[in-house]
Amino acid sequence: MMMNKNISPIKIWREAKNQHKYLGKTGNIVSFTQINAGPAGFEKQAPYWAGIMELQNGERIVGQIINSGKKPAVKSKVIAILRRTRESNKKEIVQYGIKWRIL
Amino acid sequence: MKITILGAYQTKFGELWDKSLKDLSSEAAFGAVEDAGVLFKDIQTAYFGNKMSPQITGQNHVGSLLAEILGTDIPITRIEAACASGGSAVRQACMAIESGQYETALVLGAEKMTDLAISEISVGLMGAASEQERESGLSFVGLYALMARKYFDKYGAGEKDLAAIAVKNHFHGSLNPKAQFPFVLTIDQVMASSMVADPLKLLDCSPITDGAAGLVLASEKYAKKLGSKKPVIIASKQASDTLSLSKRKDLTSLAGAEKAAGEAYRQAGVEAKDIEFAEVHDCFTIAEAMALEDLGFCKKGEGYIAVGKGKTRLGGERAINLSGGLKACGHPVGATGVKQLVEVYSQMMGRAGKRQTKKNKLALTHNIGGTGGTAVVHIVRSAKCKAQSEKSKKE
Amino acid sequence: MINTKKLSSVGIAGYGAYVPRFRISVDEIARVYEKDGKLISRSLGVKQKAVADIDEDCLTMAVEASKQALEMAGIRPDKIGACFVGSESFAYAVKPTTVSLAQALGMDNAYFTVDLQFACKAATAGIQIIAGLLEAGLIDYGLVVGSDKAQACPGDVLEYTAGSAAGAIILSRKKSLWLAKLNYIDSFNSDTPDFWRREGQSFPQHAGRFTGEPAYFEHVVKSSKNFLEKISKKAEGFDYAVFHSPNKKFPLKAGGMLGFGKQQMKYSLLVEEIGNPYSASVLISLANVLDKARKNENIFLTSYGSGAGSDNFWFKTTNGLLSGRRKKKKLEEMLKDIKEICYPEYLRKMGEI
Repeated sequence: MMMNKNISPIKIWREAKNQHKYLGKTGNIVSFTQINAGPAGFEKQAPYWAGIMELQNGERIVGQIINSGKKPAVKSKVIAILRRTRESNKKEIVQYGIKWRIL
Repeated sequence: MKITILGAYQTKFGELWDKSLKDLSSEAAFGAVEDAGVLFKDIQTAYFGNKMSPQITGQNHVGSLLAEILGTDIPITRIEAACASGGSAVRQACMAIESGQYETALVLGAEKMTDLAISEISVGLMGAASEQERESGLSFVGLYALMARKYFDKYGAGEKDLAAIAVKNHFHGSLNPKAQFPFVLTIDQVMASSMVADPLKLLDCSPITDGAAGLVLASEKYAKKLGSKKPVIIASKQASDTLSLSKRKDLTSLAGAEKAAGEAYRQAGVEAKDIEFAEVHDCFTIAEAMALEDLGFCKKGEGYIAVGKGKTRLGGERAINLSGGLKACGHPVGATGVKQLVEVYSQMMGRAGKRQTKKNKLALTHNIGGTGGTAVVHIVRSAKCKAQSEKSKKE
Repeated sequence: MINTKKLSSVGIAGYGAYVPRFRISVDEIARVYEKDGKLISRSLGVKQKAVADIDEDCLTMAVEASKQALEMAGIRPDKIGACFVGSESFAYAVKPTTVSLAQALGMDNAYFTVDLQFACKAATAGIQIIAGLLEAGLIDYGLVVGSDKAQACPGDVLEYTAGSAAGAIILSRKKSLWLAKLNYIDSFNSDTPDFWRREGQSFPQHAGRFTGEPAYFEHVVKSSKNFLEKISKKAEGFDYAVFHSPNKKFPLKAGGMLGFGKQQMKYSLLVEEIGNPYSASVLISLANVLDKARKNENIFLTSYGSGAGSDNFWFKTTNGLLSGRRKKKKLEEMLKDIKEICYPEYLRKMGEI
């Protein structure tokens, strides 16, 4: 069985284990941009916002900012939620990841 | 350090549908060796800068591919440092010669990018970024856009200021027959181009390009034997920075570039103000603005202002990217760092035709990998250059 | 046969409701098929439905609702001893969603779990299983979620109402945490092919008018009548009534047949605003009722799952409701932030184009 290296179930399993540590945590936007041309695996979702968030403890994370009706701005407060990330076909495992909602 | 550039060659850059990686590498290797006036058997080692061949063409082991092309059994090493693969390969060659183990080296930089769709190339380019950046759907343009936004906020620059950089590079490119886009652009055209990752528009971005470049380098002793009066590399420095943008302290400057430049100036015994022209890594217009500052040509926050005043244009105070830069000449990723030195060589040999600068005695090349994770800086002086301090004679 | 037993160890310690902010109106859908949207809207009693975004699904919405419930209950996630998710739109035919939910919430490995399927009553069946585990003293806390990004075939009448949402409830045997006590439960089922979706098919099929009297009403009304008898109560004895709402007409009619009035159902007819989010439907309604209820009030709840069956519940709010209901935002408040979308946008969000 050929596994897409980006949708490797093992890689996804490894990455999913720590998601609960971030879900529900809040932070602020450091910088952001709207991606109009997404790389393969994200093409269909474009356009979407992505940026660097800084958590309360100073840790910085890169992630997508979901469409919540509020326009992103530097310093906007955000909260971590779970959403589907990379597009997968009908046979592959579904990939989830941390995205950010503007509060 | 005194490494002579005996020969240099650049293929045409562009969408070269009928040329494979092997074709391009071949052309550049033969071209450089011929220009050097040496034979293949005189080349003692080689370094091959290439970022994405395994992902795009399925070809690893390009060192052996080059050996096949050259019909040689010398040691050939592939160097990968994202978009600084070429510059890093040059540095490896310089160190190999300096070590005394080799007197001559061939440096090749090549990339074949147009065999895949843009969205897939985008994924390949993101190999230069961090896992987290890939998983958030960021593209390379997106990463530099994050930096551009901070730069705008901090220094009051705007999209039009960046557009001027693209316009200037296209002016230079229009004078370069090897450039991918040998035509001029206006500010209006840049501003009207579609937004890729705001604030960076299509014409703020370097293109997807096929191409190769080659250099033949030699030790001072070997060059003297040939009676060569060719340009000499007097500094070759490389520095690293975090892979992830989120781990950087400053998003408006590339610390690695600053470090490599500082060390290169010290090694060469010169200062930023002595540099007469330079080839810098304008993967996106914002990168050139930051480069001018990181290299000490301008104060922080004034890079874009210098461009606006025409200081970096042919005939200006210090011409930047006479080749057309990555934007107009093209950016076959692994080849760029080598091509930058090919351009410097052409300018110093008086072979740059319509884009020839009169101020061509001391030059600098600036090659960046990813969002600054690797930075390579070279300083070159022409045979006629007298700007040498005691320091550089010792090194 | 089910024994009539008054439960002593089951109460709601926390609840959550998540409704995505996108809405598509019945009008907009009707326009595409050149039908009279106003007429359809009137006949269904539905104005619009909620649509989940392109990157949302059963799991992501379940996480949202569960986090609210957890926060309200104020317990550590590893205390949860059972986790059930009811849905008709799991991402997998084989691979449980509950374990991904559990991991996302920070639960440990020791919990009873399975993905549940019984059309729109999957989640309420989960409540009943947890009730059994709590009564037996095997667990102290159980989480049940109903979550659907409901699919409907383009052009089919179900398209007007099949919506997206998730509702979560944390049940507990710790009386001090109870916002409402669960007094009695019952269930009534039969083999009734009113609505189904075969393995590998994207969209469900339904049997037209057969879904009414012999299906929905047969189970909802009969089971509710039986239940009221078992617990020796009349409709007037309840402050609120919650019936599964595939549209607005059915629950009002069923309620009327049982003696429940519009006043008792005023908080459980969100279907008009958000459509029918299948297995989340009664949980969302229940969350709305709990948001508005006062202490010591009686709630009658009957779910309905096609195929078919109904689960019955008698909840009574406690003195601890107001203080325990530590919600940051009431559901009604959250439902104010909406964004209307057009039909192609809806298809894109549903992954159909």
